[in-house]
Amino acid sequence: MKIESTFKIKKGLAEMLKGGVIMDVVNAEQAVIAEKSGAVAVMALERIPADIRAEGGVARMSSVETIQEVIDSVSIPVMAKARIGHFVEAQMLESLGIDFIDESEVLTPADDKNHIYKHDIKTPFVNGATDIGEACRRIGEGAAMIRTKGEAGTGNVIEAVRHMRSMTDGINKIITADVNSLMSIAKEIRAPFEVVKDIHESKKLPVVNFAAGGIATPADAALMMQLGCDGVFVGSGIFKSGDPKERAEAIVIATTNFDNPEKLVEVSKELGEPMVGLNIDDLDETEKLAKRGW
Amino acid sequence: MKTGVLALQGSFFDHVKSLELIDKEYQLIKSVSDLDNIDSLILPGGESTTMMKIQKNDDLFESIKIKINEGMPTLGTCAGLILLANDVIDGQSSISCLNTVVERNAYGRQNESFEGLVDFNGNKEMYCFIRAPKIISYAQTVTPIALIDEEVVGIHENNIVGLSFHPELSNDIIYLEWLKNFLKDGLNVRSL
Repeated sequence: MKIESTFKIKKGLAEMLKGGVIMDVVNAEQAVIAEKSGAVAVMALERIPADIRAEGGVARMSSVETIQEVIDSVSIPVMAKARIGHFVEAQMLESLGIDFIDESEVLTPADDKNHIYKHDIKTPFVNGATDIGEACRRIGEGAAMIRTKGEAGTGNVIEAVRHMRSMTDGINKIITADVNSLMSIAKEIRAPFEVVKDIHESKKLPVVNFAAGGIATPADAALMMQLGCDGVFVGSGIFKSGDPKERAEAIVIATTNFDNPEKLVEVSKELGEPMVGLNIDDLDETEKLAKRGW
Repeated sequence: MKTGVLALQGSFFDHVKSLELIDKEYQLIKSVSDLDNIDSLILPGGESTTMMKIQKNDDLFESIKIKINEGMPTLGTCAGLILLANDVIDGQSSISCLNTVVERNAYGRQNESFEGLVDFNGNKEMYCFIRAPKIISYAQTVTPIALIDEEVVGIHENNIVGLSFHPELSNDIIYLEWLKNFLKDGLNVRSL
């Protein structure tokens, strides 16, 4: 007897990615560099976040050809982004045989009120969140993995830190709460009661939580790991840097050895230029991608 | 003595949870110096290509191979099985100490991943197969230890056990009891 695509199986793949680095790639060539550098998965997208930010316009799911090319070029899991609420892009990614769908605020949202109902799609979903309420809503819709949003394409880790700390505080509040106040908390954070109850009982988020958005150096990756995330997504940080391969390898080693400063020093030597960073305060409110998501 | 759990990447904390449930002390293994005080070893699921890349730093797998060849009870699940196998189709062999040919992701991609009813230790239990490797063939010195329908999904040679699936995501009582005995006695592990 075999049953495919149960929630346990969806969550299970995220469990296998723990302690790893998931790298943004825009073509097969970058995907191969990422795999050789030790990436645990690659994320196929049309343009990397720093370019989306610079060029503007509507950012959509990658072309079918690009996704197919990336799938054919590597043996590690391949993820791809769909627009928030764009369930048809998700259905297409499912049909393409993608291993994980990222319903991502980095792309231009397709629905200003609703996210995708993810239980109906065989492929597992990862969703961004800035706090525990948002994480619980996405889990309620069927997300099998959460990532903090950070602020993609900035090379500035401050928002990722803010969201990770907010998430940890939110989880601790639910865990230590009196059982009688769980409904009140659920109401306050606009979260499904069942997910809040699950966190209270199991004393942890029911799915894996990675960090994303602004990680550009091995030290950034180690910082997020020490703050308690399960692994990291690196977008623009790798292929917008001076030496992508060296930097990718260094971030992989740093993520495993996040609590070993000697090792972090060793891998951070001779890395070349990091990506140019952006100051979050210089961004207009409308330019903040983390605000997308409801 | 402790059970070492390879902690380069993957679901190693799920194995740690199993060890906590059977009151066995553990040591996370990230470098050669972590191998000193262990009497048994678990290689977790995750991405085998990533683990192979990270271990190169200090040739950790060379040291692990010596420990395994000395007879240390060793369990590999999913990617762990790939690391143990002598021959990997469409992939690289690495620790290479279990006489079997395995194929990576041979049950399909994530959409084909499944929970399956596995006959393991005379018990039937639903276990997760996640982009799982397939056991294509094995030497005569190898004994099947787990089956799904008629297909071999777990094998045992000397003190080495390799499983295509993830018992650590289920942690049923019979598995935990088996694990406890295996980590202690290795060789006395029961076969089908």
